[in-house]
Amino acid sequence: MLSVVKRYITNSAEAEDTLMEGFVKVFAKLDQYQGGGSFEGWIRKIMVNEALMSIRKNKNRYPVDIDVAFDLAHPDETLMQLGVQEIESLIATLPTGYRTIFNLYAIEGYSHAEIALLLDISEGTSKSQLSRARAQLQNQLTALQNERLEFCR
Amino acid sequence: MKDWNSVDEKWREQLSNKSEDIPEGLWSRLEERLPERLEEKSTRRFPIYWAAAAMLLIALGLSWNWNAPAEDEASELTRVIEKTEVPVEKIAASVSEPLIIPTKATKSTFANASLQPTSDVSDPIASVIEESPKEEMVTAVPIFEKKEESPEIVTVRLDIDPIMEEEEVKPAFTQQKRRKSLFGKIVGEIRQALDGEPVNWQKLKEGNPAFENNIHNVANTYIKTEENLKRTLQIQ
Repeated sequence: MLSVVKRYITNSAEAEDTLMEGFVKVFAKLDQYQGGGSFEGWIRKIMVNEALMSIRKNKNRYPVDIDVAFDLAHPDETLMQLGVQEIESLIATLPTGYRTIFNLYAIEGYSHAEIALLLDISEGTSKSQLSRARAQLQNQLTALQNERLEFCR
Repeated sequence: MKDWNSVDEKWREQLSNKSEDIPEGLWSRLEERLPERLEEKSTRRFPIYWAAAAMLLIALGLSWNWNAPAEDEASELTRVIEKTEVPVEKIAASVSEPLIIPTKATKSTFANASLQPTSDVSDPIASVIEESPKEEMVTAVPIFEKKEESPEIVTVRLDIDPIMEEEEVKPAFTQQKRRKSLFGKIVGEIRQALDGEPVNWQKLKEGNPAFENNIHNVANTYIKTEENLKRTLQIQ
């Protein structure tokens, strides 16, 4: 669960605090678990919510973009070949707003409508933030590759 | 050519398999903090604004419950005066400024005091009338004293020189005018009943169809409430 929280909160100390708060909630609301889904999934949801609350407490805002989502036609093939460590480092480079929405959509599997409800933003904003997050990930990857090429030369 | 959905899927799969070791001491810290945090959460179940609202309701209920009958019910008040032998000094002490009754008159009682104007200058009441010619008729309005040791309300109206026109009378203490309400009337009647005097419930019901069927319920509830209050506050 720490890795889940750390994807949202890059600061280790903050992530640990959030994890602890999350577990307090898990124990406090244990009687509310009705066994509908997996127990791990239930805890994961609590942790994600706790992480979002922590972000909201610290920043209380997500950058609001125009409600027009642009889409990158095709992702770089290299993105498919990244290891876990590289993926995490790449996601960590994103600004908080982009990172949150990318995590919720791409990793947790929430829909744009659900994200809009969770973060109190419009669906359009969620879509546009995701597109920008993806563009930034690709740019970061390209920059990383160029650095490596430079280093090899 | 791959699309972003495949990237998302691939990354989701990779990250879901990843686990990270919990830092040392985290579980013990959690164990320490958990009881107090759970206690905190359980005490917060009754929000403070609910408590405030409850207190406000109780306060309103009490103040409404202690409301006295309307002052301008002349017949009722006159009846109270006739049947209450209150020493004049008690009345004088409770009536506000415009009516000054010298201690000379303290031996008489309210029931046998002559309220008719007289030519005798030494008569204290007549002297008061002479001193304030514009206020030929002085009305002493209710002594709405709410004493904890004696919840009984004694309502007094002094009509000095009733021959004079009422329009000219503007007593200074009419500011104490109370809200005239059906509930006030009921309270007055109940108090009368508690004193052992006959009460004409039928008269009270007239013109108030809403209370025609349940006026006795209201009366019983009031008596019970008053008894409970006395018991709770240990009022004699």
